[in-house]
Amino acid sequence: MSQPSGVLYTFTDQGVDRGTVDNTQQALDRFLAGVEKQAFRMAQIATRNPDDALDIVQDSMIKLVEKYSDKPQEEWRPLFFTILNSRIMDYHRKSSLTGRLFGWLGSEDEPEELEGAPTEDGPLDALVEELTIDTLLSALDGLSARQQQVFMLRTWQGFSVAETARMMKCSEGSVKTHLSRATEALMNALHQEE
Amino acid sequence: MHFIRKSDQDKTMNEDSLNKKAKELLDEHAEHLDAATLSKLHQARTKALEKDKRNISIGAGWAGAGALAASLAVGVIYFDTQQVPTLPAIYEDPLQQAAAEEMELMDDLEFYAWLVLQEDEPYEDGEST
Repeated sequence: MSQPSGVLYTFTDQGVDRGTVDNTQQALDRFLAGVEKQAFRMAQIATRNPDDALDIVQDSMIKLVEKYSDKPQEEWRPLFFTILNSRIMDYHRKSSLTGRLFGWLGSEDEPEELEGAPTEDGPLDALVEELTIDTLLSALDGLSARQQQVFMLRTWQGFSVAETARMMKCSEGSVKTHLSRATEALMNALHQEE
Repeated sequence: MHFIRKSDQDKTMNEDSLNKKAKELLDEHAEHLDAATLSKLHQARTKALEKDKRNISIGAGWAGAGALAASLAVGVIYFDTQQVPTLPAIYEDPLQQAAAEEMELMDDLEFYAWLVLQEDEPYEDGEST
Protein backbone atom coordinates (compact mmCIF):
# COMPACT_ATOMS: atom_id res chain seq x y z
CA MET A 1 0.00 0.00 0.00
CA SER A 2 1.25 3.44 -0.82
CA GLN A 3 2.35 5.79 1.93
CA PRO A 4 -0.49 8.37 1.71
CA SER A 5 -3.15 5.72 2.44
CA GLY A 6 -1.29 4.59 5.53
CA VAL A 7 -1.14 8.16 6.79
CA LEU A 8 -4.90 8.54 6.20
CA TYR A 9 -5.77 5.50 8.30
CA THR A 10 -3.59 6.72 11.13
CA PHE A 11 -5.27 10.12 11.12
CA THR A 12 -8.74 8.54 11.07
CA ASP A 13 -7.93 6.19 13.93
CA GLN A 14 -6.76 9.09 16.04
CA GLY A 15 -9.79 11.20 15.12
CA VAL A 16 -12.43 8.90 16.66
CA ASP A 17 -11.82 7.76 20.21
CA ARG A 18 -14.73 5.33 20.58
CA GLY A 19 -14.04 4.56 24.23
CA THR A 20 -14.34 8.20 25.31
CA VAL A 21 -17.51 8.66 23.26
CA ASP A 22 -19.15 5.60 24.88
CA ASN A 23 -18.18 6.74 28.37
CA THR A 24 -19.69 10.19 27.80
CA GLN A 25 -22.88 8.64 26.38
CA GLN A 26 -23.22 6.37 29.41
CA ALA A 27 -22.56 9.23 31.82
CA LEU A 28 -25.12 11.40 30.04
CA ASP A 29 -27.67 8.59 30.13
CA ARG A 30 -27.13 8.09 33.86
CA PHE A 31 -27.33 11.82 34.54
CA LEU A 32 -30.54 12.33 32.55
CA ALA A 33 -32.12 9.23 34.09
CA GLY A 34 -31.33 10.69 37.50
CA VAL A 35 -32.96 14.07 36.93
CA GLU A 36 -35.78 13.34 34.50
CA LYS A 37 -38.49 12.55 37.05
CA GLN A 38 -37.93 15.65 39.15
CA ALA A 39 -37.58 17.73 35.99
CA PHE A 40 -40.90 16.41 34.75
CA ARG A 41 -42.65 17.18 38.03
CA MET A 42 -41.19 20.69 38.06
CA ALA A 43 -42.41 21.31 34.55
CA GLN A 44 -45.79 19.71 35.25
CA ILE A 45 -46.38 21.86 38.34
CA ALA A 46 -45.35 24.94 36.35
CA THR A 47 -47.41 24.22 33.24
CA ARG A 48 -50.27 22.23 34.77
CA ASN A 49 -50.08 20.12 31.63
CA PRO A 50 -48.25 16.76 31.41
CA ASP A 51 -47.78 16.91 27.63
CA ASP A 52 -46.29 20.38 27.74
CA ALA A 53 -44.13 19.25 30.66
CA LEU A 54 -42.79 16.32 28.65
CA ASP A 55 -41.99 18.61 25.72
CA ILE A 56 -40.12 20.98 28.02
CA VAL A 57 -38.12 18.16 29.60
CA GLN A 58 -37.25 16.66 26.22
CA ASP A 59 -36.18 20.04 24.83
CA SER A 60 -34.02 20.58 27.90
CA MET A 61 -32.41 17.17 27.52
CA ILE A 62 -31.66 17.75 23.85
CA LYS A 63 -30.24 21.21 24.50
CA LEU A 64 -27.96 19.88 27.24
CA VAL A 65 -26.74 16.99 25.08
CA GLU A 66 -26.22 19.09 21.96
CA LYS A 67 -24.58 22.11 23.56
CA TYR A 68 -23.04 21.14 26.85
CA SER A 69 -22.19 17.41 26.83
CA ASP A 70 -18.53 18.33 26.47
CA LYS A 71 -18.62 20.31 29.71
CA PRO A 72 -17.35 18.75 32.97
CA GLN A 73 -19.95 16.41 34.44
CA GLU A 74 -20.24 18.40 37.67
CA GLU A 75 -21.59 21.30 35.58
CA TRP A 76 -24.36 19.28 33.94
CA ARG A 77 -26.84 19.58 36.81
CA PRO A 78 -26.84 23.39 37.13
CA LEU A 79 -26.77 23.67 33.34
CA PHE A 80 -29.70 21.31 32.93
CA PHE A 81 -31.86 23.07 35.51
CA THR A 82 -30.93 26.44 34.04
CA ILE A 83 -32.16 25.22 30.65
CA LEU A 84 -35.27 23.71 32.22
CA ASN A 85 -36.05 26.92 34.09
CA SER A 86 -35.53 28.93 30.91
CA ARG A 87 -37.90 26.65 28.98
CA ILE A 88 -40.53 26.94 31.73
CA MET A 89 -40.30 30.74 31.76
CA ASP A 90 -40.51 30.77 27.94
CA TYR A 91 -43.66 28.67 28.23
CA HIS A 92 -45.20 31.19 30.62
CA ARG A 93 -44.27 34.09 28.34
CA LYS A 94 -45.90 32.42 25.38
CA SER A 95 -48.92 31.51 27.47
CA SER A 96 -49.21 35.11 28.63
CA LEU A 97 -49.11 36.30 25.05
CA THR A 98 -51.97 34.04 24.14
CA GLY A 99 -53.86 35.22 27.17
CA ARG A 100 -54.20 31.84 28.76
CA LEU A 101 -52.29 32.82 31.85
CA PHE A 102 -52.44 36.57 31.50
CA GLY A 103 -51.60 38.33 34.73
CA TRP A 104 -50.21 35.20 36.33
CA LEU A 105 -46.57 36.19 35.85
CA GLY A 106 -45.25 38.28 38.68
CA SER A 107 -42.84 41.20 38.38
CA GLU A 108 -39.32 40.42 39.48
CA ASP A 109 -38.89 43.57 41.53
CA GLU A 110 -42.39 43.77 42.87
CA PRO A 111 -43.59 40.31 43.73
CA GLU A 112 -47.31 40.04 43.76
CA GLU A 113 -49.03 40.23 47.11
CA LEU A 114 -50.15 36.92 48.44
CA GLU A 115 -53.67 36.19 49.43
CA GLY A 116 -54.55 34.54 52.69
CA ALA A 117 -54.09 35.15 56.34
CA PRO A 118 -50.87 36.67 57.62
CA THR A 119 -48.25 34.26 58.82
CA GLU A 120 -48.51 33.40 62.46
CA ASP A 121 -45.33 33.22 64.44
CA GLY A 122 -44.69 30.24 66.61
CA PRO A 123 -43.68 26.62 66.07
CA LEU A 124 -45.92 24.70 63.74
CA ASP A 125 -44.01 21.45 63.50
CA ALA A 126 -47.18 19.47 64.09
CA LEU A 127 -48.85 21.24 61.19
CA VAL A 128 -45.83 20.72 58.96
CA GLU A 129 -45.91 17.01 59.67
CA GLU A 130 -49.48 16.93 58.44
CA LEU A 131 -48.66 18.72 55.22
CA THR A 132 -49.76 16.63 52.25
CA ILE A 133 -48.63 16.73 48.66
CA ASP A 134 -52.06 17.99 47.61
CA THR A 135 -51.87 20.97 49.97
CA LEU A 136 -48.34 21.66 48.86
CA LEU A 137 -49.22 21.49 45.15
CA SER A 138 -52.22 23.69 45.72
CA ALA A 139 -50.06 26.28 47.47
CA LEU A 140 -47.41 26.11 44.75
CA ASP A 141 -50.12 26.55 42.14
CA GLY A 142 -51.03 29.88 43.72
CA LEU A 143 -47.52 31.28 43.42
CA SER A 144 -46.26 33.48 40.63
CA ALA A 145 -44.09 31.75 38.05
CA ARG A 146 -40.91 33.24 39.45
CA GLN A 147 -41.78 32.48 43.06
CA GLN A 148 -42.53 28.93 42.08
CA GLN A 149 -39.26 28.51 40.20
CA VAL A 150 -37.20 30.00 43.01
CA PHE A 151 -38.86 27.62 45.45
CA MET A 152 -38.20 24.64 43.17
CA LEU A 153 -34.57 25.49 42.52
CA ARG A 154 -33.65 26.69 46.00
CA THR A 155 -35.75 24.53 48.31
CA TRP A 156 -36.26 21.37 46.28
CA GLN A 157 -33.10 21.15 44.20
CA GLY A 158 -30.91 22.73 46.86
CA PHE A 159 -29.11 25.29 44.73
CA SER A 160 -27.56 28.19 46.62
CA VAL A 161 -29.01 31.70 46.50
CA ALA A 162 -26.16 32.76 44.19
CA GLU A 163 -26.67 29.77 41.88
CA THR A 164 -30.42 30.31 41.77
CA ALA A 165 -29.90 33.98 40.96
CA ARG A 166 -27.59 33.10 38.07
CA MET A 167 -29.98 30.43 36.79
CA MET A 168 -32.92 32.84 36.89
CA LYS A 169 -30.92 35.83 35.67
CA CYS A 170 -31.96 37.98 38.61
CA SER A 171 -30.36 39.44 41.73
CA GLU A 172 -29.77 37.46 44.90
CA GLY A 173 -32.09 39.91 46.67
CA SER A 174 -34.88 38.98 44.28
CA VAL A 175 -34.29 35.30 44.96
CA LYS A 176 -34.57 35.89 48.71
CA THR A 177 -37.72 37.96 48.28
CA HIS A 178 -39.37 35.38 46.01
CA LEU A 179 -38.44 32.57 48.36
CA SER A 180 -39.73 34.41 51.39
CA ARG A 181 -43.04 35.04 49.66
CA ALA A 182 -43.28 31.43 48.55
CA THR A 183 -42.60 30.15 52.05
CA GLU A 184 -45.18 32.54 53.47
CA ALA A 185 -47.72 31.23 51.00
CA LEU A 186 -47.00 27.66 52.08
CA MET A 187 -47.39 28.61 55.73
CA ASN A 188 -50.65 30.32 54.96
CA ALA A 189 -51.83 27.21 53.17
CA LEU A 190 -50.94 25.16 56.23
CA HIS A 191 -52.86 27.44 58.53
CA GLN A 192 -55.86 27.36 56.24
CA GLU A 193 -55.76 23.56 56.41
CA GLU A 194 -55.74 23.76 60.19
CA MET B 1 -23.54 41.04 70.40
CA HIS B 2 -26.18 39.96 67.95
CA PHE B 3 -29.71 39.56 69.26
CA ILE B 4 -32.36 37.53 67.49
CA ARG B 5 -35.97 37.93 68.47
CA LYS B 6 -37.74 34.77 69.54
CA SER B 7 -40.38 35.31 66.88
CA ASP B 8 -37.63 35.48 64.24
CA GLN B 9 -36.11 32.28 65.56
CA ASP B 10 -39.49 30.57 65.48
CA LYS B 11 -40.11 31.80 61.98
CA THR B 12 -36.75 30.49 60.78
CA MET B 13 -37.39 27.13 62.45
CA ASN B 14 -40.83 26.98 60.90
CA GLU B 15 -39.45 27.79 57.47
CA ASP B 16 -36.70 25.22 57.79
CA SER B 17 -39.04 22.44 58.86
CA LEU B 18 -41.57 23.45 56.23
CA ASN B 19 -38.96 23.50 53.47
CA LYS B 20 -37.61 20.15 54.59
CA LYS B 21 -41.07 18.63 54.57
CA ALA B 22 -41.86 20.16 51.20
CA LYS B 23 -38.67 18.69 49.73
CA GLU B 24 -39.56 15.24 51.07
CA LEU B 25 -43.04 15.44 49.59
CA LEU B 26 -41.78 16.62 46.20
CA ASP B 27 -39.09 13.90 46.11
CA GLU B 28 -41.74 11.30 46.80
CA HIS B 29 -44.09 12.87 44.27
CA ALA B 30 -41.39 12.65 41.58
CA GLU B 31 -40.73 8.99 42.33
CA HIS B 32 -44.35 8.06 41.81
CA LEU B 33 -44.88 8.50 38.11
CA ASP B 34 -47.14 6.27 36.07
CA ALA B 35 -45.68 3.78 33.61
CA ALA B 36 -46.78 5.77 30.55
CA THR B 37 -44.99 8.90 31.73
CA LEU B 38 -41.86 6.93 32.63
CA SER B 39 -41.89 5.39 29.17
CA LYS B 40 -42.21 8.82 27.52
CA LEU B 41 -39.36 10.16 29.64
CA HIS B 42 -37.23 7.19 28.57
CA GLN B 43 -38.05 7.94 24.93
CA ALA B 44 -37.17 11.60 25.42
CA ARG B 45 -33.83 10.64 26.94
CA THR B 46 -33.08 8.21 24.12
CA LYS B 47 -33.95 10.84 21.53
CA ALA B 48 -31.66 13.36 23.21
CA LEU B 49 -28.77 10.90 23.33
CA GLU B 50 -29.30 10.06 19.64
CA LYS B 51 -28.71 13.73 18.90
CA ASP B 52 -25.36 13.42 20.62
CA LYS B 53 -24.47 10.32 18.57
CA ARG B 54 -25.46 12.16 15.41
CA ASN B 55 -23.29 15.09 16.40
CA ILE B 56 -20.37 12.75 17.03
CA SER B 57 -20.90 11.04 13.66
CA ILE B 58 -21.01 14.37 11.89
CA GLY B 59 -17.98 15.50 13.84
CA ALA B 60 -16.15 12.29 13.01
CA GLY B 61 -17.13 12.77 9.36
CA TRP B 62 -15.67 16.24 9.33
CA ALA B 63 -12.61 14.99 11.19
CA GLY B 64 -12.21 12.24 8.58
CA ALA B 65 -12.62 14.73 5.77
CA GLY B 66 -10.10 17.01 7.43
CA ALA B 67 -7.70 14.12 7.92
CA LEU B 68 -8.12 13.12 4.28
CA ALA B 69 -7.46 16.68 3.11
CA ALA B 70 -4.44 16.93 5.41
CA SER B 71 -3.15 13.57 4.19
CA LEU B 72 -3.54 14.60 0.58
CA ALA B 73 -1.76 17.86 1.28
CA VAL B 74 1.05 16.04 3.08
CA GLY B 75 1.25 13.53 0.24
CA VAL B 76 1.45 16.23 -2.39
CA ILE B 77 4.15 18.08 -0.46
CA TYR B 78 6.01 14.82 0.18
CA PHE B 79 6.03 13.70 -3.41
CA ASP B 80 6.81 17.18 -4.60
CA THR B 81 9.90 17.42 -2.42
CA GLN B 82 10.92 13.76 -2.94
CA GLN B 83 10.93 13.88 -6.73
CA VAL B 84 13.97 12.20 -8.45
CA PRO B 85 16.60 14.92 -8.79
CA THR B 86 17.97 15.90 -12.19
CA LEU B 87 21.10 13.83 -12.61
CA PRO B 88 24.30 15.18 -14.08
CA ALA B 89 24.66 14.54 -17.81
CA ILE B 90 27.39 12.06 -17.22
CA TYR B 91 24.98 9.68 -15.42
CA GLU B 92 22.07 10.08 -17.77
CA ASP B 93 22.67 7.00 -19.88
CA PRO B 94 25.85 4.88 -19.83
CA LEU B 95 25.23 3.64 -23.33
CA GLN B 96 24.94 7.15 -24.72
CA GLN B 97 28.02 8.14 -22.76
CA ALA B 98 29.99 5.27 -24.22
CA ALA B 99 28.83 6.14 -27.70
CA ALA B 100 29.88 9.70 -27.19
CA GLU B 101 33.34 8.59 -26.07
CA GLU B 102 33.58 6.34 -29.13
CA MET B 103 32.79 9.26 -31.36
CA GLU B 104 35.48 11.34 -29.72
CA LEU B 105 37.99 8.55 -30.20
CA MET B 106 37.02 8.20 -33.84
CA ASP B 107 37.45 11.92 -34.33
CA ASP B 108 40.85 11.74 -32.73
CA LEU B 109 41.88 8.84 -34.93
CA GLU B 110 40.76 10.68 -38.04
CA PHE B 111 42.72 13.69 -36.93
CA TYR B 112 45.85 11.71 -36.34
CA ALA B 113 45.49 9.97 -39.72
CA TRP B 114 45.07 13.30 -41.46
CA LEU B 115 48.09 14.63 -39.58
CA VAL B 116 50.27 11.74 -40.80
CA LEU B 117 49.12 12.30 -44.34
CA GLN B 118 49.97 15.95 -44.07
CA GLU B 119 53.45 15.16 -42.89
CA ASP B 120 54.06 12.73 -45.79
CA GLU B 121 52.93 15.11 -48.57
CA PRO B 122 55.36 17.71 -50.00
CA TYR B 123 54.69 21.37 -49.49
CA GLU B 124 52.67 22.83 -52.28
CA ASP B 125 54.47 26.11 -52.25
CA GLY B 126 57.20 24.55 -54.49
CA GLU B 127 59.73 24.20 -51.85
CA SER B 128 61.96 21.30 -52.90
CA THR B 129 63.57 18.87 -50.54
